[in-house]
Amino acid sequence: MKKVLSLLITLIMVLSLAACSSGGNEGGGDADTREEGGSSEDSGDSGDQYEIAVVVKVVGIDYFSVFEEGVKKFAEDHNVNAYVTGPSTADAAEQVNIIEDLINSGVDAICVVPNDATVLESVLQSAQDKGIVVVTTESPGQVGADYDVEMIINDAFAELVAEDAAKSCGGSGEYALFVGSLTVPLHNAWADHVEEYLAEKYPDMKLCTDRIACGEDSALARETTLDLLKTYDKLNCFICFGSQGPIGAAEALTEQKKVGEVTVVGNIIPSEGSTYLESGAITTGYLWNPADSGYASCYIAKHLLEGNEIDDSFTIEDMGDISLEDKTLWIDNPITITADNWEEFGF
Amino acid sequence: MKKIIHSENKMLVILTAACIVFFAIMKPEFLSVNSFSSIARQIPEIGLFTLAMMLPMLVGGIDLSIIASANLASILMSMFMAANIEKGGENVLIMLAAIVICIAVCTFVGFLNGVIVARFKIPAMLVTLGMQMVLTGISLGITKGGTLSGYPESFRFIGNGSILGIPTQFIFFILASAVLIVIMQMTSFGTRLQMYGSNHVATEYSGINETALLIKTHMLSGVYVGIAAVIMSSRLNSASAGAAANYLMRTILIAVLGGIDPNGGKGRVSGILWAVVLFQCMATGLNILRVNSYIVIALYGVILLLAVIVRTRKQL
Repeated sequence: MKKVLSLLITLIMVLSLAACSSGGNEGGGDADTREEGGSSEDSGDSGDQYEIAVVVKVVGIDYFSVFEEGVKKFAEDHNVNAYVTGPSTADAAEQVNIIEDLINSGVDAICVVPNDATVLESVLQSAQDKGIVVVTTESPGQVGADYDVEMIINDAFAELVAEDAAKSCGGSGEYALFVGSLTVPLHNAWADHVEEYLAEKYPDMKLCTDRIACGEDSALARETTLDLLKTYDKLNCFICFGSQGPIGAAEALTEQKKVGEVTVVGNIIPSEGSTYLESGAITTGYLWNPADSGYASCYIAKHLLEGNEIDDSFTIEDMGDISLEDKTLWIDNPITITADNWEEFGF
Repeated sequence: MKKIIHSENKMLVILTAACIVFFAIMKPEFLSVNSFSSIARQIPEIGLFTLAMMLPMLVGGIDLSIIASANLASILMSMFMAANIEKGGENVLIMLAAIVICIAVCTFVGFLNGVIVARFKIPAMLVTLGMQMVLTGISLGITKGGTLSGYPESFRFIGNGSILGIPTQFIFFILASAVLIVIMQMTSFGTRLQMYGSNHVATEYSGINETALLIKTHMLSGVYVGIAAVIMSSRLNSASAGAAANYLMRTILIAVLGGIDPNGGKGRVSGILWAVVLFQCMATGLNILRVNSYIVIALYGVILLLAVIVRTRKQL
């Protein structure tokens, strides 16, 4: 009995510790609960605020920390209880469990960045069946979502990267393409379009070899770059999708003292690429602002919760044009990251 | 009643009750029908995987290949269904055949594990770790990292439907657990299995065929992996090489929490069942309380260590 008791006490201690850490958020949220009650039809039991849960792919990485900033900003600006949660590893099954628990805890809306679009279909549909608003991002045409919002238009994004790359290397020579993996749909869609665009507009630029899957591993990207530089002497441009590609390529160029002779463009997290942007090893980086993704998802969720429709005239302040295609909202809002502006993004 | 709450399980029952009270105080929504149905939906998968993990642990081994085996079997099952049922169509016979294939694949993997462990006397940890890599490799090779999906509605019913308000998969789970309790307590195989775990030298001298016993144990474990795989792919509506990677360590945690001695020999199915309930109440409660996932992982670690300490102290 003593043992049971001691284990019980320990468990309660540990649980209350955990609860305190979450209680912080909770307390903050409750303190914000003011009279603002434009939600008469809202049957949520946490006061009269809308509760919007945002489930990200994985918590604790830079990208989603910035994403969370956007959600927090939205919560403050619009006086709703919006928060970020998610699995500790990028596991789709885990996301399903979290969403299932959220559905039953009485949230008003769920925003999701899916790890796997098909896995989430059933659970998102059951959320909809319970009258919960579902908004996804980075998953065009998601089944089970009311709307999906994308922060970039893929073709336009690929063209932006290709055009800058071609200008930077003078429109001739050979280029290499890195992608995160051959199964990441987004990266390969961009890579396809870059190839088409360059073949048409800059026929003097040749792809030196098939695209290489090393964009999510900087060490591998570095080695690949060194090998490619040895093999192809006309190679003067690296186009890298996947946030570690440009870093690896830049490391290799720095070692080979070829900074400035070779163009490196691609996806980077501004703070990660800052050193190489400043040394010139990375020419420019391209991404969208994850904070905008978070903000926009919540914005759409709240808009729908208030009973509004989304049509062609729908806009979100400061986010430019939005085009509606079926249930997907395309916002063309890429960011170009250079040595001069990387600090502004805060991630 | 005495049977249901065995003295060994008292601690788990008290802890579960404490957990429920705690979460109910922290967040009254926890005490709703909805959150218990959410718990009942999540328990079967992890519960079946834990039962599959329990069997090799009872003979002093472990099976690190269960999740990989489930994923490969789900992939093959999905391919079979996709090839034989038109999209949007229904064919219950084909679906049942697909389920049989899924369970058969897992049982075969269990057979291979058992043969290697028993014949070559290699520790189960190494064998099943190798098996895990082989299976994941094959799965990746088949799917190229993608996800297979698009099941008929009748198949999705297994993991998403409910009968008389009880989630379908929960009914399967209860049946499967009951069968295992019978096997463990009423058959000579069950007795031999536990004897082997507590003292395999003595068991050998008493004339029990060690090889056959180990192979059977791993095959039985494979059957449970197969059932879990069916439920998982139905609930997730898909199969992929990397699904549910997190579950592996969790099954070990729950097994130890449920009173399985990591050195083999001791443990009962009922203990596992209580431990699964406790674990899922905690997981759901922590999710509802929105506790940071890193703290949750650390918490699981603390619980595992505590459980091991308490359990081993009992032996001294």
